[in-house]
Amino acid sequence: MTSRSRIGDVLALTLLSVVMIVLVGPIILLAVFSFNDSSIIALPFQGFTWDWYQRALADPDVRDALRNSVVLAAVVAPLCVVLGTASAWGITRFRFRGRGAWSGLLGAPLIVPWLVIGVSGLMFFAYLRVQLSLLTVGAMHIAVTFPLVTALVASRLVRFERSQEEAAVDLGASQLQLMTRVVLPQLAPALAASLIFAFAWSFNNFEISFFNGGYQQTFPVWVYAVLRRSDNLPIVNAISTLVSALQVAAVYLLWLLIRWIGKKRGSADNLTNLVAGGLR
Amino acid sequence: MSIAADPFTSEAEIVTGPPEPTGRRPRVRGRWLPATYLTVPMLTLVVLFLVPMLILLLISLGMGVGRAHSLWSVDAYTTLLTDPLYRHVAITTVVIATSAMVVQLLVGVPLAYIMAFKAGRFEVPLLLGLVVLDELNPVVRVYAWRMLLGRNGIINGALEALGIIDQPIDALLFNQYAVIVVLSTGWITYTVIPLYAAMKAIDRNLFQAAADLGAGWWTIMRRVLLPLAAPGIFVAVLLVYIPLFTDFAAPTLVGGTSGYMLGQAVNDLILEQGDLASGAALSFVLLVCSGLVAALAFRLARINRLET
Amino acid sequence: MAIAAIVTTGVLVLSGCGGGSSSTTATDTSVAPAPAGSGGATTAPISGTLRTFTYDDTVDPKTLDPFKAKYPDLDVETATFDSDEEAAAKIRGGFSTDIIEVCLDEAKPLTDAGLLAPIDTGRVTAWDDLDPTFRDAPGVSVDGDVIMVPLDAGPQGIIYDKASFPNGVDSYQALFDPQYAGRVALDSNWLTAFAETALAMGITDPMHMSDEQVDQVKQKLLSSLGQFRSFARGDSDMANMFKSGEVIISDGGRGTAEQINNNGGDVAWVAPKEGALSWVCGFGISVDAQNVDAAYALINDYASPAAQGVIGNLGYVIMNPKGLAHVSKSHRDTADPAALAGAIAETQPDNGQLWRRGWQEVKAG
Repeated sequence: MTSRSRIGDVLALTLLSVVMIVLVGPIILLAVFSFNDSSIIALPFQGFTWDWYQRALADPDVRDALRNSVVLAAVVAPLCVVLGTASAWGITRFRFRGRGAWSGLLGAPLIVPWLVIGVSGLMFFAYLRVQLSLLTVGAMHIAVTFPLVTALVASRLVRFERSQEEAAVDLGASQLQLMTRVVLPQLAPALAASLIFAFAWSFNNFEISFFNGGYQQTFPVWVYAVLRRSDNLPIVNAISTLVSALQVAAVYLLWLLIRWIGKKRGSADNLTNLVAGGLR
Repeated sequence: MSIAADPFTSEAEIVTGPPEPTGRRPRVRGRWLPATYLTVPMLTLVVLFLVPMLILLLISLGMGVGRAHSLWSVDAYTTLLTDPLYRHVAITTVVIATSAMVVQLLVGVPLAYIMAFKAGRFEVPLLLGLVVLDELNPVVRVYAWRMLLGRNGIINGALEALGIIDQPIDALLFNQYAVIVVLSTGWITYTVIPLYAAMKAIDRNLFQAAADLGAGWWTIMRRVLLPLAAPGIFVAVLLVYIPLFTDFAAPTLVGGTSGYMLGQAVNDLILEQGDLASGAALSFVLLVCSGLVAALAFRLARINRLET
Repeated sequence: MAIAAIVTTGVLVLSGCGGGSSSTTATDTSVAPAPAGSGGATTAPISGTLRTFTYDDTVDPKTLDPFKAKYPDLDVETATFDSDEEAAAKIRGGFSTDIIEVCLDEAKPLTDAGLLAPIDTGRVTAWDDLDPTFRDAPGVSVDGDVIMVPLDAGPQGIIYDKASFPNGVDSYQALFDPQYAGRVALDSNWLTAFAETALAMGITDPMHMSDEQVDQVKQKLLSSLGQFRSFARGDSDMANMFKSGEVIISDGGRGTAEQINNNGGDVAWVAPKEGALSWVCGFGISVDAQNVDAAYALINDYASPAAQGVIGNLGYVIMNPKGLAHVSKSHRDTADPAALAGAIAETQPDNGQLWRRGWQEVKAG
């Protein structure tokens, strides 16, 4: 092609490398320093050790907190996908009185600071004399996370060709058939993306978990509690690295799964659609 | 809650694009249907979000907590809005958050463009990289930036080794620029992914067609890419710009003595000063402003779209 | 329409709840003194569940496990916090627990809201053994009621890099010496920052400053902003700044200095001549405690010489001198409460609101 576009490619590649170095560099630094033989995360590197990983994995509090967070996110994320999809469908496919107000309500949790939501939830449960536990944390996580799913799924829904839905309805499909046969299969990538983000939001949430949690701690609450003493920071870094690696692996596996299902069904969905699909 | 702008509908409508041609089948197929889908989610929101927020609203208006007596007033609001301290903090916050948003868009738009159209087999690794970025513990992440930007950090070390400087540059860390860098890199996942998604939906043939018609590179970008990516920009602004106002880990840890933002102010009011009323009031002021920002972004995005 | 309906529902729900909560708090107050009144009955078997809300290192397995072993029928549930402020906000919001870790500088929000039950010192076995300086310190008793049993303390002085200060440092004034501009850090804590600045300015009783003095301190800090590299958020932050060469002097606790040195740093910790500050923490019992007997059992365990020895080995100053026998040699000096003679106990100032607001202004620049 023309020399112009070659220059463009070089520029693109340069930009890409610089950006990725800036973005990924810190992560790699942290991963490297999770093996650093010093309890202070700072230059210079003082020698290799597995110590932080060993200490992290040997600590029963870490295990409990990680288990609580995983269980919580694993329950919250699918529920959020269900609630978020249902409300996205309701909001985008029907005109009814008060639709604007309901949409506003759906958007509000996305823009109120989590600290504020956390404090308000705490007072709410206190007024109702509800014992704080993982259940109350989960309930609040659902309330702040499913609107994100709604946003992701709805923006996908409004781009759909409606002809298929209409054809299905014309052919006498029930709502259930319409959902399971027509809508949900088309939404699959958006739903997968929602699942990932909902899981991450619940897993990483500190403020709401702290204020609405009882005596079972989640992982971020544990992190903030131990960060006060600095010798814990590398342990946190080690776990953080481990969790990131696991999450990448999970997303990658999910991608393989989706691609496999897609091949079986003959659809062309891939990871790019999976991550991006929801936000189109 | 009507004060919350309507970011969600706006978003839905904007992505809908041009008005649908009339004569389509009416959408309402049964009066009960919306209720089937919406009852449970809405009940969840009303009980777990709206009612708690109403409690907080009443507290910001002076309702007593626990054994304290109620003193109804709007003092918390008038004090906040007239207090020079909060005006100062608000200005700092707007400057930092806006700069961070602009930086992210300046980096994010080309990055998303490259990912969507140029990256080829690197597309998936790049996306995965972006997802991982979002998974790091925000406190730990800040320490990585300290290693890079610090007095004896990697950047200063490299510059000294290259003989460009002979004294470490202190100004890399502990100021507003550092906050902008750390915030930008911390939130870029949520900026790039909507942009990328919007661009992925663009038909590549459009670029070729525009080029065939003699449009230059810059014209194509401005008249084809940007308008079509506008919905993505809107979603990015919604998902990123507003939360930037309430972020507090980065400003606390790399802002030094000049990066104090509204998110920290809310934290300090509620946690350090124990002044729930003022903290709640500040949150509601922020909520109203967020609504305005969302509405503005919606307008801008739609205007762009109409231009095409 | 819809909005009106929601608002009405909300208000209805709210008013219903409000009524409920005020009636229950009333019963709480009437119930709370009862267990204290039934003093003496310490021999009752300890069982059920004990809930604690403390700093993470307070429920370190080293200190908590012996207690658990002593009472196998008791189920201990722990919740931890990262700052007293969070804890106070959470408890005031309605979080329910039996044992609250109370630090004197943060006790006021708890006592003002009436969240701490008076402690029957007759049920605290080691009460008479506790170091009298701290046991009788202002703040331990409020309006004649003992609200907490002090268990540990830690002095806050100055940390400095030895190479940069060959002649040492002996005064808080060094923090404000223009020679070190940009190489100083302060712990981001309104109380210590203001108290140390006051001491540097020659105010001798920093915990009882007049409003004007608080204002002068604020102005001093505001005019010295260029002096500070950053306000450190916790030990990790401070240790990091020394290790990476960002700062050469700061305020801070002895533990932070020890940690920096254990990781290749070369710093010293000193109690400045104006006087070290010291936090004092211990256990209080919540007014809605459900297992008061177990709460006293925990307090008695933590105040016992054996447990105090463990706390001393963690690097803190202990409150029961009899525990010194259980402290390892290397920690004996730092654990001895006598080492804190002359230190100023950090207590909540009466005009604390002014301090906090002032500190917020300083942070905002």
